[in-house]
Amino acid sequence: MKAAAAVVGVALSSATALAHPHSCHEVSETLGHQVCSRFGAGWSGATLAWELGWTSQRMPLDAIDRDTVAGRATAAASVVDAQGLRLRSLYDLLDHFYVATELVAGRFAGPRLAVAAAPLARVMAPTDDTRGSMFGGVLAAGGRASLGPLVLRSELAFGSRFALFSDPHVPATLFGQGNVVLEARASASAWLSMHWSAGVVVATSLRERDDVAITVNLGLHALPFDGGR
Amino acid sequence: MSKIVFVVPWVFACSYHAGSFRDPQRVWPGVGTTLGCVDVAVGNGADPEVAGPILAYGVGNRCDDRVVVDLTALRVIARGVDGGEAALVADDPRGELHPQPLAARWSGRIQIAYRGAGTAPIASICVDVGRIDRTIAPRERWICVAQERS
Repeated sequence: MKAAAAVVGVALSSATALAHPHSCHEVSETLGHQVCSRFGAGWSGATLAWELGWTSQRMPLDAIDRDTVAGRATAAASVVDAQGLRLRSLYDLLDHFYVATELVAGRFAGPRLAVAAAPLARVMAPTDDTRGSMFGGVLAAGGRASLGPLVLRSELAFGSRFALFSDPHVPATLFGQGNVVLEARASASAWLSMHWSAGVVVATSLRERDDVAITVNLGLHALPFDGGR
Repeated sequence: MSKIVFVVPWVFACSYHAGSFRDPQRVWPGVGTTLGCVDVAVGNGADPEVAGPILAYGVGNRCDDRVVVDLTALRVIARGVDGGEAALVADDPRGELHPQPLAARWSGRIQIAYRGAGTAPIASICVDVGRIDRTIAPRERWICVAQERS
């Protein structure tokens, strides 16, 4: 949970850094007499970009064996598919190196639970649907290269992800699971204009075979072409 | 999300448009010319705290790739009212001046004070900006700026 909170903080601070630049009163525009900056400050350097996209995440859920008010709820380990949104903030620190923060949230169809000795709950259940929510945050670092109008990236990502779901057969009970995320990713994006790009990110977990994701996103870049193609 | 929407107009306003010879804050003073990927304008600068002639430079990158702007390669000559000429040297007390990368479709601005003009009144200062873009072959391109005389 602390890791997710840290990711949220970093992601928000990246936007506020642009909205509220530090306050230093410049007394001169002449070389050698400036007090707030040096020659060339702001001419190039680190850039910021944001990507917002639709994501499809396949992720494993652990087996469930838990006493509830409706009885003993059990389910085998399963794999679910979630769909949602993924927001990435990218910081190109060097020509070919970047770090990123990321937030993801989505919905999925929860696993079907087997509930022992729960006749009352079953009668009260309005539907057979089980719905769940997935959210998480990661930090990533990687390299990038330009290939004409394309930008190719590869990165490693580390963070956490949580899945929460309920079952109508087990009222007033929320099931939750948390996972450490360790992923290898590759992405390709194409410039739509000097500030906009569209791309695809594919990710696979280094810990779980069934943990994969694909994201289609739209990117907004603070510097035209991230400073240079 | 609202912060991203807030940033959108900011990023669009800051990119450099080829041939505009201006940045989001102001139109660059003086005379402009284009060499390779670089739009450069040279005009009179002003700084009450700094002695000597001051030139104001505005540089813009017209291209989609980063370019190296070399203000150290400029040749600057003062022409006196008596017809004499003197080579000027950039006043760079902190040793900051160096070939500087300029991001794609981006711009920068700097004022540089010069030494070496002597005591004779200056009629104009001429700058050869032909070596400012290191990616193209050097060529002579002089821009002359008349000096105001009180």
